[in-house]
Amino acid sequence: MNDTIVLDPDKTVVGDAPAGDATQVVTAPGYEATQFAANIDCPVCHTPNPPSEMYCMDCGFLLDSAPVVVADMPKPESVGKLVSTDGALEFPLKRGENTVGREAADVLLSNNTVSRKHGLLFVEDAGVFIEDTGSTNGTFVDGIKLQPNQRVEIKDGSEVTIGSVVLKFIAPEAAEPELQAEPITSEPTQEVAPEPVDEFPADEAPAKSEETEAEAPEEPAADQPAPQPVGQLVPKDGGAALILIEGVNTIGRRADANILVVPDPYCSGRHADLTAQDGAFTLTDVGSTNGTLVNGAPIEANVPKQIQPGDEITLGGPVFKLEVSDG
Amino acid sequence: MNDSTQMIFPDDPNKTRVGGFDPNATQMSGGTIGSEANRTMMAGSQQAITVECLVENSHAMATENSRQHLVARITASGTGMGARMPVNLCLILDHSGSMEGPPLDYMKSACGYVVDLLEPNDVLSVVAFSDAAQVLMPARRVVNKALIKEHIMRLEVGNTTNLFDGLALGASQLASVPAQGYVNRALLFTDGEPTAGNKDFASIVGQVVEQKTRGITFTALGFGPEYNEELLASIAKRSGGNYYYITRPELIPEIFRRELETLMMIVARNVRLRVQMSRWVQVRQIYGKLPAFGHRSAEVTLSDMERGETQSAVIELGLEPRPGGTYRVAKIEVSCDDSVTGRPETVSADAVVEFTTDPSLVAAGVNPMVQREVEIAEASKSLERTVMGMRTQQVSSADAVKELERTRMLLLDQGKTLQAQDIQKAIDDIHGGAAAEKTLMGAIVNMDREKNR
Repeated sequence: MNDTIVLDPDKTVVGDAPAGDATQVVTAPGYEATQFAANIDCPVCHTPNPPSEMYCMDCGFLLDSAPVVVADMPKPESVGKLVSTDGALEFPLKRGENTVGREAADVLLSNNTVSRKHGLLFVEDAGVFIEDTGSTNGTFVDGIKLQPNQRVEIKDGSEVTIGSVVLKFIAPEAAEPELQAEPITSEPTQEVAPEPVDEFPADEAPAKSEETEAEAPEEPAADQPAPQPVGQLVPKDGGAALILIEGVNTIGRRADANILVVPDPYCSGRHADLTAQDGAFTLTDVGSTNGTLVNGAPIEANVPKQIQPGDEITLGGPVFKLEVSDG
Repeated sequence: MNDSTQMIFPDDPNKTRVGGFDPNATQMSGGTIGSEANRTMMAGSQQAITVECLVENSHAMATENSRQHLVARITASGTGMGARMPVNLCLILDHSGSMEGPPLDYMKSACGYVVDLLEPNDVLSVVAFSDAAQVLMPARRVVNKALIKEHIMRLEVGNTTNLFDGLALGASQLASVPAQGYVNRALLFTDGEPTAGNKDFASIVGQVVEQKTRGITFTALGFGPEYNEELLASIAKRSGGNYYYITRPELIPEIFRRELETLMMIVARNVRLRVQMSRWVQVRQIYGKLPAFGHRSAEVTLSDMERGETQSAVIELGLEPRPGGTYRVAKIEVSCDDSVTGRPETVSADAVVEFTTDPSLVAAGVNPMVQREVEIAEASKSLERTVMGMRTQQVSSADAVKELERTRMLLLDQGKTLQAQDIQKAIDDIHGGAAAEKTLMGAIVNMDREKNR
């Protein structure tokens, strides 16, 4: 009897079993999980991560944990760095002497044209200097060969050639916008969205994500007493205005480092500071990549510039108009 | 059962392959215990290799720049697979003038030996080079062994050494056979420096690297005192093959046999290791390798792996300050072609470090095993310097012996007895007045590998 059922070619009989199997396949847990779970923002670097990730895809932070805010963390002193032309190699420099060479060096270059002890870099108050300590294939700064033991100053953008390896020096003020290469916003570029902290429309944001955000180490202006607005930056091509408060208003692309966030790729991670004091406004470019313009004229980095209501301010790409609140 | 076997190994009619379906459950990937329907997939996904990643210190200071080493240890599966994979072998033979007499005779008999060891499923080609390169026998199945030997026996001495053309012709013979279903290998045998054709060291190694991208692996066998051990070691290392130094002609057949046995045990080919760095992390170096750097990644070629073999890579990272907490600083991905199923496979491991402000946690977090691996990697580096120094006679043999003794002790400490034996052999060579550089080069090439035999 059993045999006949198994061998029976009748589709209605045999058909039951495969139908059950098919249902199983559709309800496989992995399938549903992808359908319904939402991204989790990294509490450290704010990169959205798919729920399948255990560690942040960008900074590697263990997503299940909370970061420890290091209260006495010294502001990491950035004294500039050397980067390869393709951006793949990066050597942050330290204050004082940095050795350059093929072995046991601070700037370690695994390349046969680089000598074991090739040269030295000095990061000093007076500037950054490079010296060739008698290498076989020489050291060049902007195409000019150094004499052995000759100290030459390098500046932001200087091209330093070690043997056959070409590196570019990036001074500390400009070092920040390296982050520009990363996808930082889901908004179309060029468009200014004033509240980029929300990666999700409110109704879609899962509760878990919001919890994670609350644990973020520095959530700018989140729990400070609501300050009185003293003015605003109005985007020229529409969009919501950036509200200015009394004191320093930090401006930049990174949500974790600025009070006013401009999610535009042309705006640096930390772009400028706008200080409002007793009705007067000063704007300082803090070393942005693409610069800051006031009424079309570039302002010098790190030099405060007095600005007036009605002035047109360009932060890398986007243009704003300064307006002052009445009363 | 037979049906599913054939689905997975379509090219191999050998029924003993069924043994491959007895996977040890603990060895399986993912650990997903699937339903009946998944069983075939699970058998297919049995891994040829596994990787584990050890960090030098479980903690790092959150407030400052620091450096730390990782050891990625890759182990080839040790499970019995029944019959071996067929090989696609090309012998690239130097018959320059210096080979005249016993070397050529022993080389021919070594080739005859190889032919005897091969089976009708295997493919063999023979290329010979002196002033130019020629195909002695195009790639074909090893059916008529007598005829193949006859071809080889006809070889006579020429004049110069055109290594570059020999490698190119050998590679083209291997490439004429579909890669699927074979373990391919070019066996380069030479006794001298390149003296004809393209003699440039960089071009020759460049060609090998290029052939590697097509899946062709070279093993370099250097015979006698005249060949360039640095060139041969580079050829082997950059293509993931082996390097041998053959001191006397009568040892040629034995080394050929040893290499062929190695080849027949290979379970993972085209092994590549990729370090994917997280933000605020730089790869400073991968010891003994020349990494190709990409966007937040560094990639190197590793050796083809025999059953049960372990090899390790020592990676140095630079870590930048950040908010405290646990981070994956790097993800280690190792990819290879499983030479039994012919399928590509990738395994990965995470390097996880906790960043803290407590220096006592950092002081307590050290893994001494990793530190010893780093010591050995450093020793390997200094051996390379010793080889250079010996060649240019800047290092006296007494100093060389002293350093070799130190390295040998280090290796013994770590249980790397095979490598320690290589060093001992080099020491004996120096005492006996022989060219120890060539033996040492072998020790360096094999320093990061542990054969489980």
